[in-house]
Parts: sequence; C-alpha cells; structure tokens
Amino acid sequence: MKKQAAHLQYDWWKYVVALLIPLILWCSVFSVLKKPKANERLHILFLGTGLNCQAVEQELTAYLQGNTAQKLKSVQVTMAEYDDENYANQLLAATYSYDIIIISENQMKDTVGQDYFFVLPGKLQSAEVKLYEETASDKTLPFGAVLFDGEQETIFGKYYSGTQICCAFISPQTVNLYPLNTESREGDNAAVIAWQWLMEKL
Amino acid sequence: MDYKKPYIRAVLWCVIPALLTAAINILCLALRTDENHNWMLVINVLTDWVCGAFLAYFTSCYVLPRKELYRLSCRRREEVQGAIDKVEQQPVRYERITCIAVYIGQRQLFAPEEITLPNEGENAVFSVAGNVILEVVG
Repeated sequence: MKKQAAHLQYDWWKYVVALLIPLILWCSVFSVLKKPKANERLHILFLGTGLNCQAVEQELTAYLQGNTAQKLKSVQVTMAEYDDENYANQLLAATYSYDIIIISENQMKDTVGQDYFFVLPGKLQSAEVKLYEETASDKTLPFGAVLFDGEQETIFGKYYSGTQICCAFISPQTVNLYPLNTESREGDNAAVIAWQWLMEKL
Repeated sequence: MDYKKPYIRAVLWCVIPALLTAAINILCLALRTDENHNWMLVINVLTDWVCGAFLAYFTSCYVLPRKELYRLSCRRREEVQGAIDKVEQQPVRYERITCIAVYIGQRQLFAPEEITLPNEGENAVFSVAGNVILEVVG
C-alpha cells in the first residue's frame, strides 16, 4: 500500500495524461468520421443580412425529402458577412464547403461571377427569373440568377427581410449537381432541386 | 541476481495489453456506423482509459524501477560491509525506484522493496551500485 501511495505522489500526472489523451484523440477522430461527405450534405451560404436561415433550412429539408432520392445527412443554411480584406480567400474557401452561394448587393464584387463560379447551365436557367450576367471575353454570360430585387416574388423572398438585390450562384466544387457536372454521381441532384426550389415563383 | 529477465517480463506485460487495446480500437473503428457511432466512441475511450491507467501504474511500479535496477546491475559494483543502524519507514523515490532509505554507519543507502534486508544491528555485506543496494551478499 505504501508503494502505491508513493508512486501516486510522483506519477499522478501519468493518470491525468492517460485520461485526457484518449478523450481528446477519439473525440477528434470520431467528429471527423461523423462529418457528412460532400454528397451527403447540402450547404447554402448567404452573404448578407436579413435571411431567416432556420426557416429556409426547415422548408428546404422537407422539400428535398419529397423530391430527391439522394440521402442527405445535413441540410444547412448559413448567413455570413465577409470583410473586404479577406473577401477573395473566404469566398474561394466557401466554394469548397457550400453548394449554393447567395450574395447580397453590399457583399457583391464586380467580377465575382467569372472569378469564382461557372456559367449557369441551361437547365438551371428559368424564364421567370432574371439572370445575373457579366461580360467576359466580349460576351455577356449568365453566371447566376437574381433571387430578389424587390420586384420578383420568389420563394427566397419569403424568408428575406432585407432590401438588397440578392444573386445566387452554384459552387463549381459541388458534387450534388447530377447530371450537370461530371463530379456528381448518379442521383446526387440535391443542389439542382434546391436551386429550382429557391427560384420558384410564389 | 538477474535483473534482465524481470525487466523484459515487465515490458511484455505492458506491450500485450497495449496491442490488445489497439486491436479493440481498430475493430471499433472498422465496425463504426452512423447508428452505433456514440457507442464505438465510448468503447474506444473506455478501453484506452483502462489500458492507460494500467500502463501508468505498471510502468511506474514495475517497468521503470526494473529498468533502472538492470542498468545499475550492469555498472561496477562496490561491496559495503556493516550493520544497518537505522531503516526509514517512509518509502522514497530514488533513481525512479521506490526504495527504503537505510543507514550503515555514516552512509545512506537505498534498498529497493524487493530486497530482503537483514535486521537492524546484524552484520552483512551489501552489493551496491550508485547508492542502491542490489544484493545482500552475506
């Protein structure tokens, strides 16, 4: 008993280490493993203020459940504002984490469409919704869609309480765009469905 | 007295549970699904806690002292002759070994708990390396 007491007096820290390391290590490993894969999540980013993200999330989740066979573990709508200094890096990083990016007027830069996104495929263009166009190589090309401009009544406008013009873009990295890009596997079309839902007229 | 074998035996007692724990950890990772995610996390943490506590105890009480004794036994030894005048009751840590301090004349030596000491006042020859009694010769 004396021996045990003596060793605890000197080596108590080993027990603390043995307690903390597995906890930190396994919690980190398991949180990485639990993170949904790119084709198991649909993330939308809104750059600006005044969007009821929770309501969009709930409505969109319910809509996707009935309209796509893709198995989604996470549907998330995030609102943020980027500062001018880190705008480029943050937006570039966002294209890797989000499937659809909606940018309000005060967060928009001149050539944001051609710098970070691709030309909107025909299937994602709607006759009822205005297109966001930019001139690239003497051609005017559609890079996004105008979701809100104070006039048109889209689903998005129902959850947006601001007054700024808002344009939506498809992330070039998304893997939920079947059959519109080669990165998406068959059936992974949640971004297409979500895009169409956002564009729906009220 | 052979100090190598007990040291190797103690190391093996640490390696075997560590390997078993690693095997359980890998198995839990392999069997992890979204449904049993939390259970597998709990199993992994608990097995590591048990193994970690065992290793902490076993290395402190057996592996490191035996390693130190083995290292000392390889060094040049001296023989100290005399009777034990006083034996301290409280164990102390000396060179990572839990020892009992004993006084032989003016000299303080440290006896690992495994060593059987003669009674106080009895004359004996002690094999000593680095102030640690490795053997009571006679």
